Amino acid sequence: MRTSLNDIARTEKYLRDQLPPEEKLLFEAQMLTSPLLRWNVAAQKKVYTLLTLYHRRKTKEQAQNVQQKLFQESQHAAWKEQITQLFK
Amino acid sequence: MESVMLNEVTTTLPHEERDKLFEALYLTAFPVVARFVRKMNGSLDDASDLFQDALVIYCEKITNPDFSIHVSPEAYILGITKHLWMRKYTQDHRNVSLDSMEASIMIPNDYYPEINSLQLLNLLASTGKKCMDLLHAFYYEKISMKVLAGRFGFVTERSATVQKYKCIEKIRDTVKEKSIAYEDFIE
Repeated sequence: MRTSLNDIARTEKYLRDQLPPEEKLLFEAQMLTSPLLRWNVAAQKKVYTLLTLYHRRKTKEQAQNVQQKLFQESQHAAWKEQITQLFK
Repeated sequence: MESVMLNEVTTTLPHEERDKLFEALYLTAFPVVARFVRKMNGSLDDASDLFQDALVIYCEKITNPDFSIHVSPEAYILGITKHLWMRKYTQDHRNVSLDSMEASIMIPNDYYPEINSLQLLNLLASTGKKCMDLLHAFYYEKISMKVLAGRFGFVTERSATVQKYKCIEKIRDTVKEKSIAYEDFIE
């Protein structure tokens, strides 16, 4: 794997607190002296945040699909009526 | 700066299990939530939107091993919905009454993310969809590298692993490019 990808793998381990103590110390020392590394680490952290938001968006879509399905099924007509009546 | 980190969500429900859970909760908890939203002069769309958000938050909570509730899921989901209602629609929190259990519910601070994150997410969901889906499958569906390789058309697990890191790099570089300033995502 090329160096930049190895750096990403190492940054992932650092952010997930999976680096052995001595490697973690070394990594933090490198961050102190390298603004580029600091920037990359911060941006990679943001990648994981965005993935969490992406996951939430997908989960919400799943909930929307369940609602749509239940609203269409005849065996849940009474339940649907109970809800729609509230907003009439 | 948002606080969410990947390692906070270490487990997720499989898709089929989540479907079953959502279906059961729609039948029991949605009427309760809809009554609350109606009482607050909200619409059916408001009720649906808030309930779906509440289900997302509920799922995150129940998959956290440290989490326990001492009330019914319906009561808990109503509590989450009340918090979301306050965040989304009212400046005057006195309009919503919370009992002590409800008051103790914590909603993730970043549930309604900053505009910057939303713009980035929308961009990545379109232009970087393949990478987002690959990373989502790996981190959230907990799919093994072997299965992932098959699903995304890689010959070996090794090439799937390399692609995973390439995807992180691609998204990271988009984040850097689109961030107005370094300070945007520095705590």
